[in-house]
Amino acid sequence: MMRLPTKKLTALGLLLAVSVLLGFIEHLLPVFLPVPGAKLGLANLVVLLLLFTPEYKWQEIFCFQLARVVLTGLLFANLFSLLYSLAGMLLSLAAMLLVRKCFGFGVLAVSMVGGVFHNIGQILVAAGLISGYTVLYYLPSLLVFGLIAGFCMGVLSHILLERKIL
Amino acid sequence: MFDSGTMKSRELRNCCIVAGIVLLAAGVLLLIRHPMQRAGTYVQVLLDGEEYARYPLTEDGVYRIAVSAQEYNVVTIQGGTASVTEASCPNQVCVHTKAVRYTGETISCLPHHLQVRIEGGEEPAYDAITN
Repeated sequence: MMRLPTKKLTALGLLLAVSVLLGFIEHLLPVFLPVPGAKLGLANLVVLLLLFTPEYKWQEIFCFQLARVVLTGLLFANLFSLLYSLAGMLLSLAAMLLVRKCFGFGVLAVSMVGGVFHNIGQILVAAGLISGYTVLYYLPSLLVFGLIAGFCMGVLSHILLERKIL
Repeated sequence: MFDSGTMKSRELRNCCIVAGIVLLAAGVLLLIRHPMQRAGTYVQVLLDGEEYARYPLTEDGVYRIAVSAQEYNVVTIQGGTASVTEASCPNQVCVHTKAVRYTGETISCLPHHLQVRIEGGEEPAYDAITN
């Protein structure tokens, strides 16, 4: 069991509330894209901030993400969506940590990698649940949507990081 | 000043690399997907993974699929394409999914465990590994 200083614990708790709220806002936004499952990933903003704040270790970010996905999933979605989000989260977090630590990518590039891998994770679950062909069919557009969404969130995170709100 | 300049250009280069790889992958996938497209001959509606009904793609028609007493989806076939035009589900993802016409293309309504799938035409060999 990790021991967290009170300040960190409080900050993580508050950020968890913020990210669940962002998840809720995103849930309210209607989806008008022709591809199922394409979304902005507003909650990813908080994770990007954590990734680029040196005092947070990857274990802490992982627990944070797990709590966020389970909370958002239980509150606003069904068990299926929870499975999708979980897969997307695990893969995108792993990919983001990798490019951050090993290649020293900045927030913009990390966010783009995260967006793309989130969609790859989701489509892998879809491949298991629905069919392999659908995967091949939707993957190209989902990759591009992930890239665009990741870029948008990266720009926003960059602005937030410059203001040093954490 | 110099330092932040090189940081910025490195970041820009990283972004270009990521975008390049992803766009290339998407392009390659599009290319290998293209020759597999064969217009299907009928629409298969699956509920909980089991066949509920099948409709010919050659005849235009509107079909109401009763998922339960209150829940429903409406499948419309028009000009060789099938789409879900109405649904009682909360997220409406299936309604916003574009119409399908090629073998293997699927519209899914996850809340209702419903799939609308194009079948028939020449069966490609790789379909054996999908269920």
